[in-house]
Amino acid sequence: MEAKSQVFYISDDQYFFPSGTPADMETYYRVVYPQFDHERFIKMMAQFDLDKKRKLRTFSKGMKKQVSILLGICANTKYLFCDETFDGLDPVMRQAVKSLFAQEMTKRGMTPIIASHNLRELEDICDHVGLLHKGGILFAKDLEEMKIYIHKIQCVFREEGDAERAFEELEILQQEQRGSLYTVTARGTREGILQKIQETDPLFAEVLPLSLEEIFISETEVAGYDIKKLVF
Amino acid sequence: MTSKSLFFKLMREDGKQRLWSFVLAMIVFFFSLPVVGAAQVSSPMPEKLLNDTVTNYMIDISPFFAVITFIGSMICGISGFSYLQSKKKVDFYHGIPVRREILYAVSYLNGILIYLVSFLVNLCLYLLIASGKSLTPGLMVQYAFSAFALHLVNYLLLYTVAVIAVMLTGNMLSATMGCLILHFYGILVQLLNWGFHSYFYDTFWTRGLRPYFWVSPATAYMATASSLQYDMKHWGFPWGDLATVLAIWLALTVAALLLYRGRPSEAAEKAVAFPKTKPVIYLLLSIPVTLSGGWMFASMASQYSDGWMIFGMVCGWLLAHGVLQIVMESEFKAAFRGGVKLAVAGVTAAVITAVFAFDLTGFDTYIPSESQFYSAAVGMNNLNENIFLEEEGGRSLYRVDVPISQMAFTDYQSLVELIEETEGFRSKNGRAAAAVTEDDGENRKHYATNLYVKYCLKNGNVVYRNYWLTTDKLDLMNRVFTDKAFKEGCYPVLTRPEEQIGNAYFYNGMNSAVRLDVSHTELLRLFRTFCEEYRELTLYDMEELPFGTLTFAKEKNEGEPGYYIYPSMTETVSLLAAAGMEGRQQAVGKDTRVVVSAESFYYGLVSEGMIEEGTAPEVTYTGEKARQLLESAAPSDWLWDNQMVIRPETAVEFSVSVYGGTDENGNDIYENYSFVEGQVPEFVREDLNLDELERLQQELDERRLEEWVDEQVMERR
Repeated sequence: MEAKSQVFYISDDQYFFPSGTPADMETYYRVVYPQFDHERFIKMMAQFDLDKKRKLRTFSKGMKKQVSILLGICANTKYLFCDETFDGLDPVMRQAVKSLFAQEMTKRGMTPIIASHNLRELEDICDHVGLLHKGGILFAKDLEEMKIYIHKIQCVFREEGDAERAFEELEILQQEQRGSLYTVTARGTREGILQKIQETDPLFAEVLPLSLEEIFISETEVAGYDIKKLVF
Repeated sequence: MTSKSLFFKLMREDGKQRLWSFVLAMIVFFFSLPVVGAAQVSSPMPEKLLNDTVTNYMIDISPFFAVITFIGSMICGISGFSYLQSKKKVDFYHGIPVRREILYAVSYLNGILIYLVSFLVNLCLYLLIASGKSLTPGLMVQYAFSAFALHLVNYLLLYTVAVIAVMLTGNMLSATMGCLILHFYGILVQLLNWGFHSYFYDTFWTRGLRPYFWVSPATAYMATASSLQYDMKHWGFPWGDLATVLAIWLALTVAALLLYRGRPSEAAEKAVAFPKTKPVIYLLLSIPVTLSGGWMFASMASQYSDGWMIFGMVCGWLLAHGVLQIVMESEFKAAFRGGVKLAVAGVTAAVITAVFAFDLTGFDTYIPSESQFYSAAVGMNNLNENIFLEEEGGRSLYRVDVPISQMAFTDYQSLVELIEETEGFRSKNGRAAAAVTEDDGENRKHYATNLYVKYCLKNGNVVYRNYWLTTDKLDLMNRVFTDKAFKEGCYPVLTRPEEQIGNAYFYNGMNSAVRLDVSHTELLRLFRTFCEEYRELTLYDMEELPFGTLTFAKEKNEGEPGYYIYPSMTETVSLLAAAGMEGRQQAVGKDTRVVVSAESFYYGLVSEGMIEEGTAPEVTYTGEKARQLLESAAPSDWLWDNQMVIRPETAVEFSVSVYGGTDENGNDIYENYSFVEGQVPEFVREDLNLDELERLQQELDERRLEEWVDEQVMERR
């Protein structure tokens, strides 16, 4: 229970009391989270222009999400578990929530744990990323570290056998060829990968930026979760 | 925050969410208690009646509160834990930092408080309102709180059963069905067992398999609540039953908590919370439904029908499978899966049916061995139906209940010889016959009758059987009948101490019963003579019309049966005559008239147009003709009470009324009589033109038969 008291869970489809208002939910949470900040909740509800006395069933999806987030933040727990939290929020509200999270992280060391399929959103805010696959964690790393050790390179070789020699010692995650142009995603440092390729004196070799989404797809392909199996 | 303050705060918050159920309970109890109380006290009832009404209200209306309690327990139990049926709610409640056991306790206790507070508050209001009109307020309060205790304790049990149903299931439909099944499964299976015994076994006696209401929480409660009024006034409050209910409740509370702790959160929105229980639940439901289908269809058929039984079983089997699969898997197509379970259920049901159908347990041929036999109680149907016994505590026994509860018959050989003669019915056509009449060639009809036997075994077990046999076995029946133990079991008067004999009353079938004006010594002499001659009485003696009835009582002529005095009891008849008692024929006086008619017979023919409408013929007899007529007629009860040996005439419905004087208000005193079968005097037949009426009736019957045959032929074409 001590561990659980440090956690606030915001569900994808949060439950609210039937005919309940944000004030009713706040009252309940104050019972189970003694450290709940009542004044801050009132203030933030006003800032977000949400009526605490209005029935939650009349709120839109986005408004309900906002209320959930505000309740979570004002519970003052160390960890905030968020499941698809940004779903339903408009871009402005998303930024506002991200700012709130950043503020809480800075001010009191809150740690949000966000589950999302929208990896672009996570890239902006997350330091550490874990990929869930089939109920388990495929891998979990610092985002920057993840990006350091996986790169996408486009290159063109002079001779036909050069590509084979260049990629031989690399841990290739994904490889694509269009004519002479090779696009590979490989594990390793940028310098290490480039060096291996440069040894074959290619006509052209360039490192491309890799998004979190591309990293996810590459890593899961290795694990066997492959788009080619789904699309035919 | 201390855990105690957290607990009460959680109870408060939970209470807010369940406010609707509290308001509902308050409304129901408000209208059932203080509003009724106000209506009672403002009614213009006489004071004593009003006092009785308000004093006894809570115990009189106990069954009504039992129904409210049952419904309330289901509502509170299912709604209180409904959060377990929704994934969203489970995520919410299991995500907060509160121990699950505390969540459970909060919901559980609130469900009890809703009922307790609303009932108690309104009960107190009722008592306040009604106390002014009760002459015994102390008794009123005692009854009220006794009833309250009964309802509260049973609410705890029923409520916990509902909670268990929620723990075992994952959605509202399953929880509700589960709750009903938990409440009534036991009793329904018992009824099914009873039904199968009744259908397949010729010697089955329902007494041997009375449904025990105690296997079902709801029916046990209903039975206790229904008898509360009687119990409170005769036996006192059923504290023992209440203690048992409390003990069961405690055990079920622990079970419910264990289920709650073991219940996976993923069970929300699934039909069954524990997947491993699915096949068990399936079989426990499917097999009884299969068997019930068979029994239902076979019972609806006008004759015993194996074809309909099989059809019903197949329908029940398939329907049960379909419904259970759909509910358990929440998918219609699931009805076409689960072949293995279907097969297991079908085979099991078939095996159970075969056990009954082929009597593999030897039910119908059971007779205990002499080494097992301790005693028996034997009741012969259509014999001694006038005998009743009032026991201490106000319970009354009638008909075969008297010998069955009083007798200790030990002549094993005679009993077995008699029982063995009954088995022929089963082997004849596989089913016991209805009333069989066979002419034995001497113009004497024989009838079937029941023989009820309670075997008391040395190991303390009791076995009940019901046999059929015909009266051509009268010799064997008579051997049992003349046994001392049999007589004393059938006729409680034979074992009454003489100190309890204070008066005797004689009734000759006319006018009213007369108290014998004799000395105590003469009374005892009469009693001893009566007992001696009754012990010698045979079934053949009872084939004659009684001389009259004799009742022995301590004081007044009530609470004791009248015993028939037969012409063969010559000493008793003499003593009665010496006391101035005379039979009905001797009692025919100048005011006596006997009116005979065959009204219904006559009007039946009029309605068919066989004879012209007019007044049904009616003849009045007095004097000698009346005396002659009364040789073969007696009060109807005297014949109906002992149909096994002497039967009333029913082929023609005679109306025989014997008038003998008037009462103090000038009204005629009369008694309804019946003729003995086949002994209607010839002069009566002539005076009523009965031969002609019977001829016309036969014509009518033949005509009807022809019409029916023509109809059948037309239909077939």
